[in-house]
Amino acid sequence: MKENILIFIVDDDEDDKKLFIESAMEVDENISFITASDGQEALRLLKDEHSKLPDYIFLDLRMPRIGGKKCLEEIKADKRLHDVPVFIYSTSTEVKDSIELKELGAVHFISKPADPNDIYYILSVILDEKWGATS
Amino acid sequence: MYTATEEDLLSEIEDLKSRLSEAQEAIDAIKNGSVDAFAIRKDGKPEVFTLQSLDYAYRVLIEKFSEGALNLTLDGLIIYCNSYFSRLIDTPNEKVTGSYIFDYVSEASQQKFREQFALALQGSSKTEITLCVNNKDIPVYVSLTSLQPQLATVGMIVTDLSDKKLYEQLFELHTETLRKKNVELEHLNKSLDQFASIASHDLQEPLRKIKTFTALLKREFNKSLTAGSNELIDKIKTSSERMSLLISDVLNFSRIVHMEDLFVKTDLNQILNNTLKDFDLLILEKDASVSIGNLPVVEAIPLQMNQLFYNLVGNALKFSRIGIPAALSISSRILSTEETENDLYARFNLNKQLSYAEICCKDNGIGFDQQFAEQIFSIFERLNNQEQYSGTGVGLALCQKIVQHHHGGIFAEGKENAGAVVYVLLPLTQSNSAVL
Repeated sequence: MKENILIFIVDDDEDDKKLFIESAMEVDENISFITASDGQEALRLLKDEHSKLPDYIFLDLRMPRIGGKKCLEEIKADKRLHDVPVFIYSTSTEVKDSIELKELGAVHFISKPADPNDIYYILSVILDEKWGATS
Repeated sequence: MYTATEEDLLSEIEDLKSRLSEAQEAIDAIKNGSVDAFAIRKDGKPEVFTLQSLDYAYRVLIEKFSEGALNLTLDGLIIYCNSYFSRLIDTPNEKVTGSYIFDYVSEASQQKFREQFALALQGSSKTEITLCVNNKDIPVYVSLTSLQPQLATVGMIVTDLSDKKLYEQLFELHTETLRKKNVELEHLNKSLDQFASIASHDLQEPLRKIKTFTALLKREFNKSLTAGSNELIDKIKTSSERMSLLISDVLNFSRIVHMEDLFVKTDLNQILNNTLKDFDLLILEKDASVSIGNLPVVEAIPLQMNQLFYNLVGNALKFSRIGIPAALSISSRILSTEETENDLYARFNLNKQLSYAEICCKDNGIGFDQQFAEQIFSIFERLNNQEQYSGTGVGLALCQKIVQHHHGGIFAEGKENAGAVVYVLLPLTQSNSAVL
């Protein structure tokens, strides 16, 4: 039996978070979520040693206090969190951002789609594949 | 045998004495300057010697000199100064003569001047100092020359540097202003970058939401929506997509100039081929024929060349006439030197040292009225209505900006319903640019 997937989503935009969760639930209704509204909150929750490690982290870039880039750097510098695949999920369509964040260790750079249907397709591709530290 | 009386001898002696005294008087007169010419009888004819041409000419020369000229004793007492110097320090000649030169040298220059003066006693020296008279500083260049052994004096030539200093100060001031302007410009460029980033993120953000929620509205409430409300939703969708396109076009447009890309040798044939691949589907759809000539290799920014050709080909296909298969031809030729200097190209300020390629992009589309030939390159300028021909009106403005950035030129010729030709002039090489 497939183990339940845990996704950590960090985004200051409540609509986007809600849409993301709805779309992900359509792909697999057993997915559970942890959410944070900025990098600071995310790091506090992630660095709690008693917390369960998420299977995937989806990270927005432009957020108050600690942004996505800094948050990614901290995740990659943390021994426990280092191997959790991080996906950048941002409004940015900049190739420059994409290259920079992949160099910092992001698995993939996703520009938030306008059509909710597209979120569904993107997530089904991601959740069907195994994105691990070795990929 | 020579015989002479004592009387004769005495008279001869008197005569000689008197001639000697005359000669002595003449010498004294010459010495004190009261004689400026004298005549000597030679072979029965008088010969005139003018002393004026000797001493007087030098005096006039020194007096009329537009440099200060002084004669100083070995301890710095001024025994002569010309009128230029007395005007320079605004002190009457009589007052200057008999005073010490050191009295006119500024406190700050005293030591330097005394050193140079001492040096001049052994030969000559030159230096820049400041004179100070009546609290007024006068920057000067002095040249000191010992006139020994002929005269126990030092000659001094003084060049007024006031104007030069003024120009130097003005120059420094302008350099400083320029530096400040440059800093300002850098700030502005940074602000522009920030603006670009805000435009790309913050403006796109709400738009994306509009698109997302209209899509959701349509999906979730599809069954309860009437045909009319569906149409309205579609209009919202189209408008927001258009706005989104507009923002990214404007962003691209603003980025052209401060792109720090380097100019590299770029094969335009390759660029065009890549561009045509992007239009594969549209070419099929429009049943378009495309003919390509051989294009040159130019020093250019490849990405911008891509954008240029993308817009040119895109326009040619977009503005085709309904029911008539689009025919597009792209060719090029090298302009001759005479043509580069031709009036037609004068407005582009082409560099006569460089060779230019003229790329001609011709279509058989809807064309345009020649009176709008300039206007079509203005940003947001559209000659055709939105319903029939999509676009933001940025395409040709972007082309123009790219071409200008490559120090070339662009112009168009057209006739309504009879096609358009866009000419692009590009230098084969870029002057003064780092080319890889």
